[in-house]
Amino acid sequence: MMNKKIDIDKFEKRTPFSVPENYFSELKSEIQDSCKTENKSYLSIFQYAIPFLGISLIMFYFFTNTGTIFTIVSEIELSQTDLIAYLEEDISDDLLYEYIYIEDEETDELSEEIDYLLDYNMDYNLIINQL
Amino acid sequence: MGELTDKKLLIMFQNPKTRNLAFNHIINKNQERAYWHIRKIVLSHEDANDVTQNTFIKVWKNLDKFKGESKIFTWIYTIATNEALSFLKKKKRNYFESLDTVSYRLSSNLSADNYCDGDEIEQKLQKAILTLPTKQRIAFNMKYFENMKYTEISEVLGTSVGALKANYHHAKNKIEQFLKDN
Repeated sequence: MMNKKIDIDKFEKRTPFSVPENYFSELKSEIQDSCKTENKSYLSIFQYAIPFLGISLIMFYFFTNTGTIFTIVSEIELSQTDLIAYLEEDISDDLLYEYIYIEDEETDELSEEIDYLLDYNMDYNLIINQL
Repeated sequence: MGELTDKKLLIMFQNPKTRNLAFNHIINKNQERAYWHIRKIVLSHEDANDVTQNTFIKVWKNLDKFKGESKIFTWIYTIATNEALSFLKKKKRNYFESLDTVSYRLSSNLSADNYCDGDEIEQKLQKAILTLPTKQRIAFNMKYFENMKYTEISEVLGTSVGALKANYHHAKNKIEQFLKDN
């Protein structure tokens, strides 16, 4: 082999590799099983994704339509003195309401409702419950 | 039923009722060729088995997007080649290690592989082929062992026919020289 010209085209063109017995008939089933598993994993993603999307939409609707409550709570401004006075019950309902500052136009309707409740000297707890 | 052409298989695959039948036919027709093509790249039987399965999972997932611009088997070969190259990339020990080094490292484990048991000439030829750079090795295998046309190899590897011819010639000389020296 050392001195002669080697022509690999004259070789049998075989690799040294082999496979286990019946490998290819089993490979077919393995491929089919893998594809079925892939399908199931796709399905299970949808099974979880759809309820998740549904819940997200409901929560989105809830927060966007009830956002006024959060706006009011976040925009109430009370000084420490007023708060202490309130806690000591030295503050009138009207005075407390003066400190409730609501900027959002969408909350006008709610403000009117609060006015109405205050006009009828309703208790704070009742007002909060009404809101 | 006569020979199912690629066009017929694609139409059958689009129909949910005949989808599995078409896919089974595609597996039957292509699994062995795809396996041997992959085996020559990744070398060990276990790795070739995994990569072949991944290849056909990709075929299953993407066949409805296949436009039929090439033959199904060349399309499967392209996926198989990409999967095998991705496998070699994952075997890199660090960012700077080349694919050729990975191939060389994998080839050193060949003697431990239960399914690498050819005669002396086959073993020596394989050793010689493994001295080629990975992409040149893939092209050489496709021409030498699988007797594919240059146009088909060109479709699979995205290399020009001229470059493939020159590369094959160069690879053949290199292998013959290696066999002469060893």
